[in-house]
Amino acid sequence: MTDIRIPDDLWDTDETPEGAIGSWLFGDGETVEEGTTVATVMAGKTEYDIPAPASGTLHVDKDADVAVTPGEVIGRVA
Amino acid sequence: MSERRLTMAKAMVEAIAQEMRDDERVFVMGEDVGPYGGIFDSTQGLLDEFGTERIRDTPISETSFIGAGVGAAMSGMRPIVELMFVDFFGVCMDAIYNLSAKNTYFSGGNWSVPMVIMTATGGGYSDAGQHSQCLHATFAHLPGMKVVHPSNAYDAKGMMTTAIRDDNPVFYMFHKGLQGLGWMWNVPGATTNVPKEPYTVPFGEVGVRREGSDLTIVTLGLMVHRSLDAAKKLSEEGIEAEVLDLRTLVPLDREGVLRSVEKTGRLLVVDEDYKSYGVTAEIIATVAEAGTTMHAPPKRVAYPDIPIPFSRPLEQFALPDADDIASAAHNLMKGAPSTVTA
Repeated sequence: MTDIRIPDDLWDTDETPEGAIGSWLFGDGETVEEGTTVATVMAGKTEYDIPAPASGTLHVDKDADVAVTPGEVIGRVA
Repeated sequence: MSERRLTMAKAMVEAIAQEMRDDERVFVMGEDVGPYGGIFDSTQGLLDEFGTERIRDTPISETSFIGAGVGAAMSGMRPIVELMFVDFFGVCMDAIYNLSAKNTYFSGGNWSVPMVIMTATGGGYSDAGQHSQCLHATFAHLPGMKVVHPSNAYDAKGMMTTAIRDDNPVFYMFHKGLQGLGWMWNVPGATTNVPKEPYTVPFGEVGVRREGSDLTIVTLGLMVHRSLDAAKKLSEEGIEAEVLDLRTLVPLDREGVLRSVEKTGRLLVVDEDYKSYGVTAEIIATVAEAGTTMHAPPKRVAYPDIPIPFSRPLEQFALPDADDIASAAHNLMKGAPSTVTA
């Protein structure tokens, strides 16, 4: 089980306290490959790609539109 | 290996980038296409690779830069010009329909206008009546240009490539709600597997998005997804709808529509554009003229003939949704006559 974590320094939280999950490109239970973009996160006007940290089955913990901050776990790959 | 999924916006950008690498005549211009990356992300990241000569921000004057696009195309370039919102066509329509669409005809075929005009369409996010229209029929009505409208990322990339390589002007309409923008809503079906290599999607072929035997739903753009949602509900009640995605309005795959309606004998046309004088009428007329034997009179679900409200509850009420489509399908199955409304 590997956490899908938003990198700690992805954006400046002094300027933009929180972002939001833009979309999941794969659904809960789908097979993903390490390095494939699985989700996007929006902070301010910038969109960031979140890659799968490992290959396996995707588990989504935070749905699209949910507010998130750097360092947060948004899903897992098992 | 897992698929590589792209949002529709990223698929469009990939097609433009690949064609620009391959053909130095291709360039992009429009409002906020540079550092901003397109207000609906249609040019995101292109400036970094291609620079300001080939990704050109313009002043807020559609009259001048759409006109400049026509001139560039006739001078041997292959411009992609973005009209930020289709609603802004009013100030540049002469360049679109008298110049880009007719100059090949006027010159006896001696001049071609290989130009792509890409433009954002559609409502649903409270941007009011001059930023939320579809206007499919306004452009499809006029001869001389192709009019296309992808509903998913695979088509968005392939149709953009086809558009750029076409020697005719192509009016490439994309629905904001399908772009996969973080600040907009999500339509999971629009984000699809997209091959990395360049490919084309031919114009003039409907996409059968769902097979069914009881009725045919003909639609395009965002309404493909709303219709698929409706078809799922209908299926739970034992009604199997076939859902056709028109994909291109010019050329229009009339044969593809007739093939399906001959099979099902029932037709429902769904469009987010205004109801009267539109795509829905054209499709119904096509089936009527062909003399197809029907089990029931055709029906349509479209945006009523009123401006699009800024008020969210009013706008959401007026826009067609899956419930409206399912309800119209039920009436169609019962053979109930259409209610005449505005």
